[in-house]
Amino acid sequence: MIKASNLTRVFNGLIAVDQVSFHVDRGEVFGFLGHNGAGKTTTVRMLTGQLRPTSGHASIDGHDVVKGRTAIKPMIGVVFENQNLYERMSGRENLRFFAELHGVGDKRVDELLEMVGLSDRAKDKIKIYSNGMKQRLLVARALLNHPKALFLDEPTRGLDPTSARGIRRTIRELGEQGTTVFLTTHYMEEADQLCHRVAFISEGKLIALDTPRALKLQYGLRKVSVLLDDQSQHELTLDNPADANQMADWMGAGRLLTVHSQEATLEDVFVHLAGRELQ
Amino acid sequence: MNLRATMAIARKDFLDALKNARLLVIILMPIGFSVLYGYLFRDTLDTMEIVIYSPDTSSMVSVLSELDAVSLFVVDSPEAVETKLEEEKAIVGVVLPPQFDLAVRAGERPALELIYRENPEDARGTQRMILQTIEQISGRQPIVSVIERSLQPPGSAEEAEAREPMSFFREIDLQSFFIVLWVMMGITMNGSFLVPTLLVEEKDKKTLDAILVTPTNYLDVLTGKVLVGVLYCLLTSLTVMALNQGFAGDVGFSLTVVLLASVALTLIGLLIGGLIDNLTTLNTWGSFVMLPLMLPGILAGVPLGTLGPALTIPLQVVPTYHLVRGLGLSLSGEGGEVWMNLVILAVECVVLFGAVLWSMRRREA
Repeated sequence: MIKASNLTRVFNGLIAVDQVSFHVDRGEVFGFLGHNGAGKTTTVRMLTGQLRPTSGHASIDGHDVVKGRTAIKPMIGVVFENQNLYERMSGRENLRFFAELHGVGDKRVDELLEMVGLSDRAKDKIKIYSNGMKQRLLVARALLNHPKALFLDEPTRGLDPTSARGIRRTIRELGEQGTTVFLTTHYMEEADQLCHRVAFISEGKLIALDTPRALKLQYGLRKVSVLLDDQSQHELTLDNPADANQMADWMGAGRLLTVHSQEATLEDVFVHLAGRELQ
Repeated sequence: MNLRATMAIARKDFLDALKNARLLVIILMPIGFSVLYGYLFRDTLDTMEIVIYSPDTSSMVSVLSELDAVSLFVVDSPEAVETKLEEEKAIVGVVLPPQFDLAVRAGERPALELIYRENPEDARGTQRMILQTIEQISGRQPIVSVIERSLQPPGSAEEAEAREPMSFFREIDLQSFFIVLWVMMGITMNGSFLVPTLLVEEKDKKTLDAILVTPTNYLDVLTGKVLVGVLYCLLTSLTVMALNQGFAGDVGFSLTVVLLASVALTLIGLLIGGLIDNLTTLNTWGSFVMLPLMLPGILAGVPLGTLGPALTIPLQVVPTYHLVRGLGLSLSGEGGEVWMNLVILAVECVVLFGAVLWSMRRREA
């Protein structure tokens, strides 16, 4: 559905995105992860036809994002990093305006307001909306045209846990309904929960691409941490037969209080690969 | 070109401008000024002193005396007309022949003598009003023979020439001058400030990005802004004209000048908006751009000869120069003299449109 091949963007001699290649399958929720300034938003802007690549190619559903820009527009929805809504207009007016641009009727506007739980606040001006409400409206706006590919740029940034959970639930439902989702975030747990596959980008370069589980297994420690009834803590290696016997003895004697795997988190993997923290 | 998107953008911006206090001030300010100045100068504007001699009390006397804009002196001899003019009690004297009304109604060609205190060009508005009054009496286009003369002794040809290249338009009455001034102000503010604000705000708040990922392109956005800009320019101008009896003289020429100037100034606004990416910069530089555009209005009453070529020549490149001159002459019923202004305005519209397209292509590249 989405394909990037050696995608590169240079701004005044500074390489923002450096020969990035990947593909996203139809119906896949794809996470594009990286620290601030890694090149996530620039990649999204190139994929959605907002920015010309300096070199390389990208396509959506077979249409080149530069030459076939007109063809890709009806197929995509974008949730921008900024909450770019018309503040002096109401929620409904915002959606109706964009519905007109897409040639979509008012029925779809009402459906989406209902879906994101803003029907009862639809007449309120955006300037009195909370961050969470604005973000939900942005998601609704991006879905007006029933997009085949949905791009979400940091959709839960700065949201309270409840609002973030609501947005994640919507993303999950969209993925289940077969919408291709391209999600950029620097929240690794979010990507872990939602994405079928994730790609890591750092300093404009793609440094890893796989399923969250595969990445965690590849870079995690094959160890467990054990807490016994005498409050003593022990580390056992999964590949050591002696450790396996020891574990069996403790279990048999009923001495185990807790057992924790030492599987890496996505953040651990990123730090390991990028050599820097996520921020 | 996506007409549906263009109209949606135009409708959104038209309503949004009314919700934006700053833009609302820009829209209403020229109208407010026109009302305020109309009130402050009501005595000056109302008084057009005419002295008339009518041997058999023509109905023209009663019609003129009922006009708010006229202060009428009726005298009992043609000599008394000249006396009143010499005493500077009136600017125009009218001497009617006997049986004037009957002659007009019969379609004959009675001789009407107009005597001017000074230069006849100074009192064109009065002459027009008198002819309109005769039309009212006769119920048709008046067929009269107008004999004009001035109390001022005729000067030499050189003197006349020296007097001729006056300001942008030959002298117009104060009311027309105010109409020109407020219309120019309205078009300049709406075109060169409201329009770029609409565009720059979309860039500043990133809503333009959201529009451009829909099946809408930059040309649709710009066209929508042009429509709104021209519409507000026209609404402001027509309101000012309606409130100040500005539908006088050569109305067709007036409206054409206003329309072309609205398009030109709106395109200038788009060029400004295309160059600037945030509202802070626009607010800082906007007034610097507006000042040269307003200059022709500010200098409208100053004789061109006193300005010097260094100012006069660049001034004549500014679209508002042609608006001020064209509208001033049209209001004075001298629309025939504004053809060149109309042509220049039309050419400027084409050039500016080309410049907007060029800047748009540059942005997309």
